Amino acid sequence: MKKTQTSFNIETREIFKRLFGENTMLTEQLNRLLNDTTALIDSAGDTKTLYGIRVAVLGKNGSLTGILRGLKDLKNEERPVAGKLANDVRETIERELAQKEERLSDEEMERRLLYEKVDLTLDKKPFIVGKIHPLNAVLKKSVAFFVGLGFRVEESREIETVYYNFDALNTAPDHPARDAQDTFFITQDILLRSQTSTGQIRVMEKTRPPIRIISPGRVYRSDEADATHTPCFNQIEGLVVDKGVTMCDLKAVLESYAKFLFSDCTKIRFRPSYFPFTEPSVEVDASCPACHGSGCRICKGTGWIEILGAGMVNRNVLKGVGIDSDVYTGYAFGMGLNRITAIIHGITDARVPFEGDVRFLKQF
Amino acid sequence: MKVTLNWLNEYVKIDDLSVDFIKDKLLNIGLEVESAIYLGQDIDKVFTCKITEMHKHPKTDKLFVCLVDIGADEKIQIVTGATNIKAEDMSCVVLDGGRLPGKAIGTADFKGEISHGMLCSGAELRITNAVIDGAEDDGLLILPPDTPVGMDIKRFLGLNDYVLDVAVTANRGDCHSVYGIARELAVTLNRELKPLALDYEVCERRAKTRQSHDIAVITKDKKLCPMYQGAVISDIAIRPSPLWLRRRLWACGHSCRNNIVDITNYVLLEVGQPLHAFDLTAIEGDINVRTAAKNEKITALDGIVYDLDENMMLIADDKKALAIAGIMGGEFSGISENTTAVFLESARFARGSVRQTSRALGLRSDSSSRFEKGVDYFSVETGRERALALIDELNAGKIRCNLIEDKAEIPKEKVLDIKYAQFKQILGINVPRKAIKEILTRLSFKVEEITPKSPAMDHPAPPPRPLSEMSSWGTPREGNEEAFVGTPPREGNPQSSAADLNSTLHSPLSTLTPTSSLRVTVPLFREDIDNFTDLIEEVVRFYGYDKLRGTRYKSGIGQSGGISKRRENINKIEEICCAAGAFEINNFSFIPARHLDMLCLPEDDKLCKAIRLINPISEDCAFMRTQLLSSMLETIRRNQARQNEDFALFEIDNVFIADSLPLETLPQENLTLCVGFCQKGKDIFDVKAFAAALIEEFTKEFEFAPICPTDKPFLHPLIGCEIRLFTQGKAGEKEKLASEKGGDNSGISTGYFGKIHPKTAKNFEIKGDVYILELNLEPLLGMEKPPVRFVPLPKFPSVERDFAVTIDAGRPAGEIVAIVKNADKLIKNVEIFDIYTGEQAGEGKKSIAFKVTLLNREKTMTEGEINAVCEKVVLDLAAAGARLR
Repeated sequence: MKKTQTSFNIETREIFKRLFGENTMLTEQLNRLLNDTTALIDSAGDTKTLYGIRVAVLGKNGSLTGILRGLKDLKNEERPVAGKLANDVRETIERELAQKEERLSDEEMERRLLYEKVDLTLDKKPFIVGKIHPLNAVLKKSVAFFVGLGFRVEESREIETVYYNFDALNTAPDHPARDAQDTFFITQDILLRSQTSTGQIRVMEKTRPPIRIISPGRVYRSDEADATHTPCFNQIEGLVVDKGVTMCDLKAVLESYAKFLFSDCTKIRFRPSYFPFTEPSVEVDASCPACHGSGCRICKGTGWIEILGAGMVNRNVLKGVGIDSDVYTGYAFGMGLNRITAIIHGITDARVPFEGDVRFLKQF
Repeated sequence: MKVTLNWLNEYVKIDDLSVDFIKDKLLNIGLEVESAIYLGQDIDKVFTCKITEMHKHPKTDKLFVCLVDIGADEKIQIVTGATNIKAEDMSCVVLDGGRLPGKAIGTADFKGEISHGMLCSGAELRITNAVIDGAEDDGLLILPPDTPVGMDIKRFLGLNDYVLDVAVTANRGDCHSVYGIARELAVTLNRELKPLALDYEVCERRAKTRQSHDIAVITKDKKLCPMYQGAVISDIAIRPSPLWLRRRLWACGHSCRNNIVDITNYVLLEVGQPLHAFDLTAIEGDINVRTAAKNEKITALDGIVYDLDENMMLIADDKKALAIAGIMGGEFSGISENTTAVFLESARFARGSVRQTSRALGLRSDSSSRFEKGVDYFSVETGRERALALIDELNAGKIRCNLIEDKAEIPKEKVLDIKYAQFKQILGINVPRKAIKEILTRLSFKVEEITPKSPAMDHPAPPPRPLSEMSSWGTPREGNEEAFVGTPPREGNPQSSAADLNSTLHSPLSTLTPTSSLRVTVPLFREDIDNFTDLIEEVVRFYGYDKLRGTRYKSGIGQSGGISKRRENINKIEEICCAAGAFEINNFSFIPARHLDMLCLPEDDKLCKAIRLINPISEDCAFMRTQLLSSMLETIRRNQARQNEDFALFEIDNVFIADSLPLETLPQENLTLCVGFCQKGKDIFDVKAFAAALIEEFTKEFEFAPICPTDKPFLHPLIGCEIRLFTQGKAGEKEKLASEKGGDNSGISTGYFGKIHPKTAKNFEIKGDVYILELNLEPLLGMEKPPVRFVPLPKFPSVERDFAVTIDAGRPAGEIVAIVKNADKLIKNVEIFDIYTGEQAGEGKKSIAFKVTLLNREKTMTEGEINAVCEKVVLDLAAAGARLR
C-alpha cells in the first residue's frame, strides 16, 4: 500500500512540475487533496468512515468534484492536461477507497462471524424420526430376505375356520393340538388361527405348483402372557412345492436365513420333531448368536437356540388340496418372530414389546 | 414324561454313559430332555444308622446325645434336638464334612458334648412320604427296622439317580413310557433292549365261590372301546409296596398308596398303559362297558358327584356305574385296606371320547391324559401282563384268571412298501440300504426286500403276529461291527453323480424305476406310521439329519418372487408415519368390553359389535378389536403414567368387523391405521396436513367433511373431520360433491381425525390434548396408482395478487378459497395469510386476506388479462356475500 502511494506521488509531482512549475495553484490543490485523502483513507477504521470520505471527496459536493467542476474555467491548452491529472487523482482515490473497503469489510465480516458464534454443545428440540416396532422390523427384514430368494408374499386371514387351521393341515379331530387350551375359539367352527400354516392351504387351493411363498402375520395361542409367552405373536410361514424339492433344499434356505438373521458364522441343525402337516418334521436350531455354541444364559447352556419348525409337506396335505403327491414334493417352515426378535435385541420379557412404552420404542 | 436313568438301565444298559451323552442321544432322535435332575444333588456323606444309645444332654433339657452305629468299629456321638426318635431306631446321619442341600455339616460342640455330624430329616433329603412313611413329618427321618446299617443314603433311597423330563411329540404315544424310551435309546445306542418280565403263575380255580373269576366283560360300543381286558386276583394282601418300587414312583412324581394301586401306576409309567383295579366285591354281575344313561350320576374317587351324559363312557356292572372309563374310578369300587380280591382292567378307550368327557367334566387324571395321547393294542396286552407279573413278584395276591376280554377285530399290522429311491426323493441324499434295513429292523419293523415287479397289493401281507409273541420282539442283533450308529458322516456322496441328481430332480416319483424296494411291516405300537414318508423319517431320525447337505437355491430358479403391492403400500404408510415422528406400537388384538363404554359409544354402534372369544385368557382380552383407538388411548395412558411426554404413536393392525353376531361367516379383517399425537404445540391443523399428505400418496380424490358428533362421540364435536374417499377413475366427482351442500351419502367414509373428547380422555385417564387419526387402509391398499405423468415446468413467470374480504364470522374460510379457485382457470393457488376479527372488520364479521397466484403456461400475462381475472374474483366473491375491503 505504502509503496504504491510513494511511486504515485513522485509520478504526479513530475507531471505537475513539467506542466505548471512548482507553485501552480491547481497542482498544489490536487496534490494536497490526494495526500490528505490518502492519509484519511489510511486512517479510516471502518467502512462507515470510508463511506464518509467517499462522499466528502467524490460525492456531489465533494472536494475533488469541486476541482473537476473548476476545470472548465482553464485555458483551452491547459484543460486536457489538467483534466487528465484530475482524473488520475480521482482514479487513484477510487482505487485506494476500493482496496481499503475490501479490507475493512473483510475484517468486519470476520468480527461478525466471531460474534455469531454459538455453543454447539447445546441442544434445542430434538429432530424426531419415528421408528418401526422391533417386532415388525424383524418381520420386514425377514420378508425382504425371502423375497430376495424368489419367494412371493401371500398374506392370509387371522380369523379362520377349523378346517383351514386343523383339518386341511392333517390335524385329526382328536389331535392334542386341537385342544381348546391352545387355541382361541369364537364358535365351534371359527377360531383365531394358531399358526400361519393356514396360509399354505389357501395358497395351494388357488395356485398350482410351482409354489414358492411366504406368509407373514399374526397368530394366536391361548397362553397367559408371561416372560416367554404372549397370546399373540408374529409368524412367517414358508412353502415351496415343486417337482424334485427335497429336504436338502430346505436346509439350504434355512441355513442362509439363519446366517442372515444372526451372523455368517451361524450354523443350524435339524432335530426330529412332529407336526401333523409335515413328514418328516424337524425342529431347527441355530447356533447361539450370543456365545456361538459354547453355551450361555441365552441358550441355557446348550449352545443352540430353537428358531423354527419345518419339514416336508405331508402327502395328506397335498392330497387334500388336489396336488399330486406322487409328482410333487414340497417343504414348509414356520417360525415365531417374537422370540427371534427378543434374541436379536436381548429383550428378556416377551410382554415388554407390547407395552408401547416410548422409552422402549426409541431404542431401536 | 418323567423317567429315571436307573429305570431305563433296567431295559438298556446305560449306567456306563454320562447323563449329558444320553440327553444328546435322545435329542438327536426327537426326544428332547427338558430337564435332568440329580436326586442326590448336594447330599454327601449321609449314611443309614442305628441309634444305639440316647440320653439327655447333661446341661440342657432341649438336646439329646446319641451314639449311632454306621457299621464302623466305633460308634459315633451325635447331638440332636429331635424328640421323635429313640434308641434302637433306624435313621440317617450326615458325618463331619458331609453336605445336605443348602448346608455343610461339620463337628460341633453343644455345651460340652461333641456332635460328629447330624441326624437329618426327610425334608432335608427332599424326600416325601411316598418313599418312606413319615418322611414329611417333623423330626428326624425314621427308616424301616430292616434297613442295613452304614449304607449310603443315596443308594438306599435311590437318590443316586437322574430324573429326566422328556418331551414326547404328539404322535408318539408309545414313548410315554419308560419302556418306549428305552426302546428308542437301545436303537440309537446300538445296544440290546431287554425284554419286560412278564412271567407269572395262574393259580387253580377254586370251585363254586363267587370269590369269583367267572366275570364276563361286555363292551357295547367297539368304536369307543375297541379292546377291554380284565384279570381276577384273589387273596390280596394290601400293604405298602417295597422301597424300590416306591422310590421309582416318587422320583417320577407319583404318590404311593398300597401295593395294588402302586402296581397300576408303575405299569402306567413303565409300559404306558393306564390300568384300573376294582374291588371285586363291589362288582355285581358282569363288567359292562357302556355309555351313560341320561341323567346318570357317579361319585368318583375324589368324592365329587359327576353328572354324566349319553356321550360319556362308563364301566358298570349289572346294577351300577363303577368308573368313568379311562378317567377315574368310582368311590365305592376302589381298593381299600380291606380289599381281598381285585378285578384288574386294561383297556383301550377312544382318545377323543376320553378327551371330550374329561373336558366336559373338568376332571383330569394321569389315566385320562395318557389315554388322550393314544394307547395302542400292544400296551393293553403288555400292561396287563406286566401288572400280573408284578403282583406275582410282590406276592400281592393269587392270579385266578389272567385274561377276560371283549374286543373288536384288532387291526393287522400295516404293511408298507418303500422304494430306496424315495429316500433320495424326500431327503435329497442317498441313505445306504444297509442302514435303512438295519434301523427299521432294530425299531421292531419287519423288513424284506421285494422285486420291483410285484406291486404291494398282489403280494399277500404276512399274517399278523399274535400279540403274545410280541413280548420278545425287540431284541436287536448284537455285536454288529458295521452298525450305522457312530459312523462318521461322509463328506460328499459318491452315489449322487450329477446325472443321478438331475434324473431324480425332474422325474416324478411314480415314474422312478427302482432297482428294488422294501416291504415293511409296522409293529402294532407304532400307530403313527402311515406311509413311506413316515418310514423315511424313522430312518433319518437315527441315520442323522446332520448328513443332509444344503442344496443352495436349487429349485424355483427363474421364478420371480416379489413383495405384494399391498405390502409395498403398507411400507409406504409406515414410512410416512415415521417421518411424522410417530413410533410404531404393537398391541394385542384383544380389548375388554369396557373399552367400548369408555369410548362413549352407544350400544347399537357398529363398533360395539365386537367378536367375543369362547375361551379368552381373561375378560381384559375377551373381544377382538373393532377399532384401534381404544388400545391406542390405553397405550397413551400407560406412557403418561410412566412420565413419558411429548410423543406420537402409530399402529397398523387388523380390526375385525362381523356381519352378524354370533359369527356365522368369517368376518371382515380390515387393516387399519391409528395415529395418536400427544406432542406439545401440535394442533388439529398439523393432523389435518398429515392426513392429507398420507392419503395423497394414494389418491387425490378425497375430502375432509365435518364429523357427525353422535357418530364419533369420542371426538370433540367441533374439532374433527371425517375422511371420505371417492371411487377412483371418477374425476370431477369431488368437485360435484363439494358444490352440493351436505352431500353426506357421497364418498366412502374411511376414517376420521380429530381431537379426543375430554370425556373420553377422562375415561382413559389421559392428560392434555390428544389428536387421533384412524383410517381403514383397505381402500388405499387396493389402489393401483398409475405411473406419474411429468408436467413440464412453467416457462413464464406467475403473478401474485393480494385480496382482503369481509364475510360473516361464522362462515368457513374454505368456502372463499373454493370460490376464488373456481373463478378462473388461470388461478393456480389461493393461500390465506391473515384472518382478522375485530372492530375494523365490523360486528359479526371477519376479514380474510389471501394471496392469489395466477399462471399462464402459454405466455406472459398482460396487465389487462391479470386485471380481468382479478375483477372476476371480486365479482364472484361479491355474489357470494364477501365484500372487498
